[in-house]
Amino acid sequence: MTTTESVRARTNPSIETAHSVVETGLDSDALVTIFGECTVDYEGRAESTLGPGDRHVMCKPDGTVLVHTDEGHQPVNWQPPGCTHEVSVDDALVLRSERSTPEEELLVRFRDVEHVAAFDVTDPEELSLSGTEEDLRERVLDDPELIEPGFTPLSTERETPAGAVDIYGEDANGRSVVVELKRRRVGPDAVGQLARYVEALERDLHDEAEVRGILVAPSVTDRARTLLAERGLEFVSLEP
Amino acid sequence: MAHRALVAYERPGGRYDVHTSRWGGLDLSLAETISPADPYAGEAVDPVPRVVARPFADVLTMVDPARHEALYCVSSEYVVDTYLPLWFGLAHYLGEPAFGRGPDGLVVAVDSPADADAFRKWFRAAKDTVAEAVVGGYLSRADARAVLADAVSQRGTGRELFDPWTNGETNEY
Repeated sequence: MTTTESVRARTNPSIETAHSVVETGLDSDALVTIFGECTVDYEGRAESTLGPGDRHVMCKPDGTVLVHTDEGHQPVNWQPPGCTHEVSVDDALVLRSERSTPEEELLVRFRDVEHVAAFDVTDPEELSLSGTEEDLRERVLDDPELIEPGFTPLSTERETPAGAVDIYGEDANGRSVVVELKRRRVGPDAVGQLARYVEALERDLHDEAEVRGILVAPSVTDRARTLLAERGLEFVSLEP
Repeated sequence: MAHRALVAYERPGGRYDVHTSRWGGLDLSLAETISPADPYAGEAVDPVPRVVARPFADVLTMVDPARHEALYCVSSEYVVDTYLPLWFGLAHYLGEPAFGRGPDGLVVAVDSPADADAFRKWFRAAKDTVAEAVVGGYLSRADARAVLADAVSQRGTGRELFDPWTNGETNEY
């Protein structure tokens, strides 16, 4: 196995080993590539099936999936940013990519994996975000409907026992709303942060107060998306 | 909220004034923009200190790992050391109330925005894995803490690593 700080790779791995590399890579927001014999089924705005053949599949941390053959610069199948990836094993390595709007599913089944790799990609461009640091908050305050129709900001930096809330406001039905702003892709700990603010504010208000929590970020990991749903918290995708 | 950070400025005599930054935890880039000519990196750091003249051990205990995403220590010569707080809290994975629990985790030194980004992503994956084992009933919370602490120690070999809150004892988290 080739392993450096930023690359994990295996040549001719077992299906189980390939699964481990892919799953760990997806969990850690790595760029994951798989090469081997596979079938590809797409169901969404249309339906298509590719029979068994050698293909190179790339999964990007932003949810993009690209399926390439040995010809052309365009992938033969793809999914756009924002999709969720899942990998599993039955008698093959199964990569499933889904999105809900519009409803689409891409299913890639590898009977045989010849190479698998996960690359921790750090792009300096990603780290030097454009705009001033207050831009995101100002944008939301200037155009609250970016959060949702009827949202009204009431204050910034509202103090709670768990710390200051970025934006505190009300929704169209008069319910209190805590908005947490993040400028990069975030994971479950951002959900934990938001939950703490919501809980602290509910204690600060009266017993029956229902406080909504909305996480605003360019994207969240799959696990974070699941935890948000489990806790009744919400997510709005907004680029900084 | 936001990407909050603490920024500690060393005073003559080795004690620190501690300031806050709303976005300084984003990518550790404040380390490159804080300078003697611009100590607060424009308006990135609140110029009003939260506390003054505290020893470094106190600075560490001011970090809330659930909330602060970076700690900067600015020496009297304006050499800036950067640290990542790593939050060990698992309540949000388990559907339990997250507020009101004591701080728990470790604080590890990082040496660049890229290093911080890589360490942050690694920790997120490690914590996800451990949390999954706790949720599945395969690992107790005390064991989960030990596994996480051990993993961070191994990944952080050769780095400064602080355990500000437990004093060697397992905290509630």
